This record gives sequence, C-alpha cells and structure tokens, in this order.
Amino acid sequence: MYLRNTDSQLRWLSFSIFLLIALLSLLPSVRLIMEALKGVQFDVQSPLSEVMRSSQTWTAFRNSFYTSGLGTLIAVVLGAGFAFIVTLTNIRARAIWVFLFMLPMMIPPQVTALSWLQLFGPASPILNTFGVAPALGSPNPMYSAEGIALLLGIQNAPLVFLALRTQLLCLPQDLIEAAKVARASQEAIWIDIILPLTRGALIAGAALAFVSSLGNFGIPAMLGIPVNYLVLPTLIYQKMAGFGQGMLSEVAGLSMLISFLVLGGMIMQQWLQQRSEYALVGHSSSHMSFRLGKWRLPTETALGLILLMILVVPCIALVVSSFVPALGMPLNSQTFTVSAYIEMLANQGVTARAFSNSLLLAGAASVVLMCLCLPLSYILLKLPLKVRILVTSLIEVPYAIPGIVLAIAFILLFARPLPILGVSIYGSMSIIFLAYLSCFLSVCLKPIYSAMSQMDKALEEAAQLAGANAIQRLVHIILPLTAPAFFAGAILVFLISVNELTVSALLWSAGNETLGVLIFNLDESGDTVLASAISVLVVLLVAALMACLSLLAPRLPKGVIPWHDSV
Amino acid sequence: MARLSLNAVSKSFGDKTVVDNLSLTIEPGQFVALLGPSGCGKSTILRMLAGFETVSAGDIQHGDQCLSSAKFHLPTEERNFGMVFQSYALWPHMTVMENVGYPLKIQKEDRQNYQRRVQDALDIVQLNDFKDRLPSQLSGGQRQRVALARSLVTEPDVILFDEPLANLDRHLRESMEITFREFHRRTGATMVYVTHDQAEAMALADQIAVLKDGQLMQWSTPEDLYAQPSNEWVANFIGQGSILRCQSVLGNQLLTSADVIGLLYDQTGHHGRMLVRPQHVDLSATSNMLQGTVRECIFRGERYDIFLELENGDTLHAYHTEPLTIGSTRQLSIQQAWTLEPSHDHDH
Repeated sequence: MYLRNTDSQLRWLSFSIFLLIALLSLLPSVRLIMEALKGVQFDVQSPLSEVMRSSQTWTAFRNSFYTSGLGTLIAVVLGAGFAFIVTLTNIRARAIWVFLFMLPMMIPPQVTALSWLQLFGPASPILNTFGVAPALGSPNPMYSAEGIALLLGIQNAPLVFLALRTQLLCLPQDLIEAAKVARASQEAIWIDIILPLTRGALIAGAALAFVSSLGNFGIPAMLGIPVNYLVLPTLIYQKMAGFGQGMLSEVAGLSMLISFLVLGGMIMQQWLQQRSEYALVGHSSSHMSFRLGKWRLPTETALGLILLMILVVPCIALVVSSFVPALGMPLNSQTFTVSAYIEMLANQGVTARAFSNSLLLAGAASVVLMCLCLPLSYILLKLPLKVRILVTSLIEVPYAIPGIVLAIAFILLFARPLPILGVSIYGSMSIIFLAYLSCFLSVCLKPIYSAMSQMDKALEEAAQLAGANAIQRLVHIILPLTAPAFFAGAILVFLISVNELTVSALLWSAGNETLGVLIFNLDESGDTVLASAISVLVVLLVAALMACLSLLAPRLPKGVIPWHDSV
Repeated sequence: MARLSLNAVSKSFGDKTVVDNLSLTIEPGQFVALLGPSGCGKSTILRMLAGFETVSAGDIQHGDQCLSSAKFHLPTEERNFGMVFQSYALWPHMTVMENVGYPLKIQKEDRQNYQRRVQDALDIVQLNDFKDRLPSQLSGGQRQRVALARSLVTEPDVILFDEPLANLDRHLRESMEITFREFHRRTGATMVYVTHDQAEAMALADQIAVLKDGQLMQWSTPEDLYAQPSNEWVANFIGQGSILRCQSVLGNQLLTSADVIGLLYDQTGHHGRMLVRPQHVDLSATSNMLQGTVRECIFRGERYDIFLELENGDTLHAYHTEPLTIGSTRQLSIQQAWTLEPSHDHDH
C-alpha cells in the first residue's frame, strides 16, 4: 500500500525484509514476555512475583543504578572533556588523540576488567615488581561498586565523546565570530552558544553511556561476582547457572525488569534530545576552533597523563602479568617467561578454536548484516514517517536490551528443536550467530540509514527518470554514494562482535567458545596468567584492526571510521 | 510528439488538498511555465507529471497513453521524461560523461551510439571539453548545463524543470535563460518549467499557468497575462501597477482615458477595481481632470519610480524621466486601464 509507487521487485524485497525483521527483532522479545507472564495467573507463588518480592532482586536493582549512575558521571566528565579539547582547540596530533581515546570502547570489557585487576591488589605484578604491593590478604580495591563504576565510566566515555564530537564538528566558526562581534566574553560564548547547541548531543551521549552501563556484563562479572556484589545482569547469569525449578521464568522476569529500565532510559533520552535539538542553519566550511596559545603544552600533557592512567598503565599491567610464571610474582629477568603464550598457542586447542570461532562469527555477521542493511534502509526511507519510526524502534530493541536478556530470549526460543525442520540449533554456533544478527542489526543499520537519509532524494529521482529500476538505482547510485557508511557499519559490527562476551556467555557450548568466553572462563578458574596472555593478543588484534583501518582511511571516503577524520 | 493533458487532476496529502481540480492542455513543443508563490502546488504538479507522486483524482494523459489516474500509475522509469532539478541532482561519483550517458546505459545503447549521443548532448550545452570532470570540479552554471544535457540525451518528448535557476546568481541566471531558450528551439521538446519568478516565466514560456493554493488562476500567453489579468490577485502578482478603487464595473474590459476619468470621478461606489500599469500614467499632462501628491520618488537608472497619492487615498505608481519633489502636486492622465473581477477572498 505504502509502496504503491514502486515496482514489484521492491514489493517482494520489502516483504521478505520485514519478515526477517519480525523474526530477528520481534520474536525474541515476544517469547521472553510470554515466558515471564506464564506464571502470573497461577497464584502469588508464581516465579515472577517471587522475583519481584525477593530482596536479592532489589539489591541488584540498587547496585545496578549506583554503578551505572556513577559510571555515567565518569563517562560524561571524561568524554565531554576530551571532546571539547580535541575538537575545539588547536591541539597537535589530533588524529592520535582521537584514536587513543576510542580504544577503551573497542577493548572488550572483560579484558579491561582483567587489566585493572592486575594493576591493583596484592598479586599485582607491577606493584610487586616495584615492591609496593599491599600485604597479602588485603582486598583488591577494584572488587567494589566504585571499581565497577570507574571501569564502566572509562569503557563508555567514548560514547559521550563521539556523540559530542560529531555535533561539535557541525558548529560553524561564524557562530563564534558573530558572538565576538556582539562583544561576548570567552565565558559568555561557552555558556550562551556552545553549551546550548551541544546539550542535545551531551544528553544523548550520557543516556547511551547509562543504558550501556546498565546492560554491561563483563565488568560487573569480573569485579562483582568474586565479592558477591551483584547487579541485574550478573544476577541473571548466576540464576541461569543455578538451574533451579522455575528458573527460566525467574530469569525471564528479571530480564523484563532490566529491559524496562533500559527502554525507559532510551525513550527518555529521545524525548530530552528532541526538546533540546536546534536545526543549524546555513553552511560554513570551517568548524569552530579556539587557539590555546601558551596553554597548549600543559593541556596536551594533561590529556596524555589521563590517557596514560586509563589506557596505558592497565595495558602494561596486563602485559606484565602475562609474562610471569604465576600470579603474585614480581617480573624480573629470572621470572620472565613466555610459557603462558606457548601453552596458549601450542597446547590449548581451545584457544585456537575460540579465535577461529570468534573471527568466523564476527566476519559472517558483519557481511550478512551489511548486505541486509542496503535494501532495509532503502525501504525504510520509502515508508511514511510513523511506520518508519516504529520499525527502527523494533530493530533497536535487541541492541538496546542488555545482551544477557537477549541471550535468555534466544535460549527460550531455541531450547526446543525448530518446528517443521526438527533440527535443534541450541548448543551450536548458529544460535550465537543468529543472536549476533539480531543484536547488531541496529549497529550496522545506523550509519547506512543516516547516510541514505542525508542523500539528496533528487539523485535517485534523476536515475528513475533515466529509466533505472529499483535494483539498478540501488546498485548504480545509492550504493556507491553510501559505500563509506556500509564499510563503517560492517567494521563496527566486526569489532564489537569479535570480542563479544555477554550473549555468548550464556549461549556457548563445548567446541563453540568465543574469545570473550575463553578469557572469562580462564579468569574464573584462576588461570589469570593465561587469561592475561590471551587478553594481550585480543588488545593487539583490536588495535591492529583499528590501525589498519586508519591507514586505509585516506582511500576511504570521509566519515567511514569513527576515530579518523581529516579535520 | 504528443499532447500532454491534465484532466481535473487533484492531489491531497492527508486532508490537505494541494492541487485542486486542475485541467491543462499542453501542446507538443510548447514551453509552459507553472508560476505561483511557494505552496501553490506547482512543484506537486511537476512531480505528478514525472510520476514521483500519484494523483488523487482526475488523470494525466500523454497522447493516447494514460500516465496517471486514481487507479493507474505508470512508474517514472517507464515514462521517458527528462528533468532538470533545482539541486541539479548530478551523481557525484560519475564524470560529466557518465552522468549524461547514464540514461543511455540503462537503455543498453550500444557503444558507438552511446558515444555519439553523449557527444551531441554535450555539444548542445557546450561542455564537451569538460566530459571527464567530476561534478564537484564544475561551477554552478556548468553543473546546470550538465543536468540539461542529461535531460535531453534520450530525446524525451517532455522535459520538466523544477526551479532550475533558483540556486544561481542573477548574472548567471540571465545567461542560463538564453541557454534554455536556445535549447528549446534546438530540441523542439515540450517543456514544463516550474518557477516562482514571474520575470523568468515571462521571458521563457509560450504559455503560463498561474497557480494559487492549488487552483489555476489564469492560463494564457505572457502578453495576455500582463495586459489582461483575470482577477485582482493575478494583477497584484504579475508585473508592476496600481489597483484603484472605482465605481462598480464589469470585469475584464479595457478602459480608455475618458472611461477611467468617468469611473474615478463618480463617487457613488467603490466596489469596482481597475489596474493601471505605470507606463500608462502620464505625468506631463496638463488637463486638470486628475491630480495626485508625490509621496515617493526612487531613482532606477533609466527612469524614476514615482508613487502618488490620489484624492481618494489610493496610491498610483508611475514612471517619469525626471525627479519630482516629494509633497508636490501633479496633474496626470491615465491613458488606459484594465477592469478586474474582484478576488473572492479579498474583503476590502
């Protein structure tokens, strides 16, 4: 009906795409809600009401709010500070700052947690190497609510940074010049011009950081579970591991709770953002920039120190602990050993398997999603606005709800063999793959969709007048013009999914380990040195991937890679 | 070549009617302008002709083929129309040659024909030296000419123009107007040209459709439109001139000098309206029949624009070769005027 103007090619395409979205995005959530509500009609003893009355639930609820709130605060301070300085001033080597600051987001949370654990505490190889480690038996300060919040903040600061930086790059220099002509002071320019214009981006970034913190599993799992400080995702994980009666309904209930929190946060963010959004009129080739003058060197030093603290030192700790024979020993010429690496590469078949599993999953997911998003965004843009918002929100749901919830939904969906086919994908790699498709569809879609919506509609209409049908228009006109966005989408999916832990933590099975699961399991079983060695490799892999892309960046159109821009 | 006709076409978005019961017949080879203020529905009409929008009621015929009706819609890609967009809509990833040749590529034209026809199209717009450039390496006027070449490369029956000069500066606009006129002479194609600029429409078109709020106000040649506007709104919209109140009078008549004086002097009513073009006001007259007070005098280079206040309070616009003192009183005569049907929505 809505696509009446278009040909039958397009109609078939849209039909199959919407079917797929329904399967990927809607079905898991529906299944989850059904399971959570299953017990309700029986009596007050039902699993859902039990969950709601359990003090454990509300403790985890409070903990989740506390760690996420504090984490968001840290993320906003870090991210906004870096965004303002790196974007608005004449600081040197901008590209490197951006790259380094984006790195924490790309390093998987379990690796971040592991590296910070190695940094502090009595067994710290670094502190032991310098002989300043706390006495044995004293607690590691990272095993605490504040430790979790700190790492959530560092992990999510790039979200705030990116949101704000994108907006700042759009602010034309003449706004400041106009303010200066009106004799506004430096402070007045900040308070009256820059802050109001960036408020929307700041709120969006903060809300993203909060939602992402709420759903984070890796950090509270590594830092909270050992001292029994549980947040909602780790509570779900523990209940899943517990296998009690009515367990599935209980976790489904918990999942609903956390989903509501997260979705509520997202809706509030969108509402707030819409209220504070200003359309920028006019165009200007140069974006805002302030001269730092004599403050340039001190500013650069300060940024360097912060990055040293949050990025370099933990990484060194990680590297150091991968070279000692056992945790708690200092690193020196006698103790230095690469046995962990040898063991990992030579003896442990599981490591090689996890690497190839993760690469396969991430590669397949990014390619499939990239191919899917071309027709999807195209069709979305042909829909009336209301329908479009509805569909994009649906696609957003699996990404917005925490990974642990999505994993539960997939278990519920696929615990029994598939109808008609009679094959069970539960316990195979396919279930992880499908969950990734569902989860990362919106990650891939966003850059592609926004690139397409920014394209002048007349470009496609001109092709239509030239006689090109829908497929020809897609291939000849739209694809080449939005290719950068496709790369960006696929790369982002690959980077995120290759290190993914939360979804696979519940869906993996023997033989189907992912990298994230491998590190988590090794750490849990006390094999910290080996876990560190693998983490070092993971960090190297991530950094190498990002660096490769940065090298390629001049050949790719502008805007493909978030941590690279020509400004 | 075939006649293009719109028969009682209406278009609504939701409950808002944008084009209301419009009928137009465009003869083969005509250059037609759709003229009106923004929001009058002219772009929607063009988009319906192109096939980007469906029609809500009525139908569009091209020769004996139905393009659009409430039940049927021939997709754009099957219409073989050319179009020049306001934003040029050049594909930034293709060279000038590839842009112009794209419609031929879609039609699977063989290599030789492709080369020759692209060459011919580029010759018409004098851009053959630029065929390997990318659109970003061209100036605004050159981009517009590439768009022009692309619209004609398949030799379409109808070429549509959507405010093609709106993004160009005044100087370039004048030279593009000349290009368009030559282009029309050379191709002989039917052209439908949307604009809000009456000077542009008058300079280019054989026939102008004046639109307001989705309704056709007048459909005539530029000369008739100027000399004989069909109602008060069109008279205000087109050209310079003053509308004077007078005794009730039948609309759409040409008045002589004597008629004008008679109608203005009779104070029994003021429900009639007459349009006086400034070139028809003679300020060197000595007859004592009409007079006005000079309120404004503006230098325009070749002449002065004079605004006078008449005895009944109406303002009269006139031209004069010399400046006049503000506040002075002048004798004047009006050589001719055009009586107007009152617009229905005008209430004073």
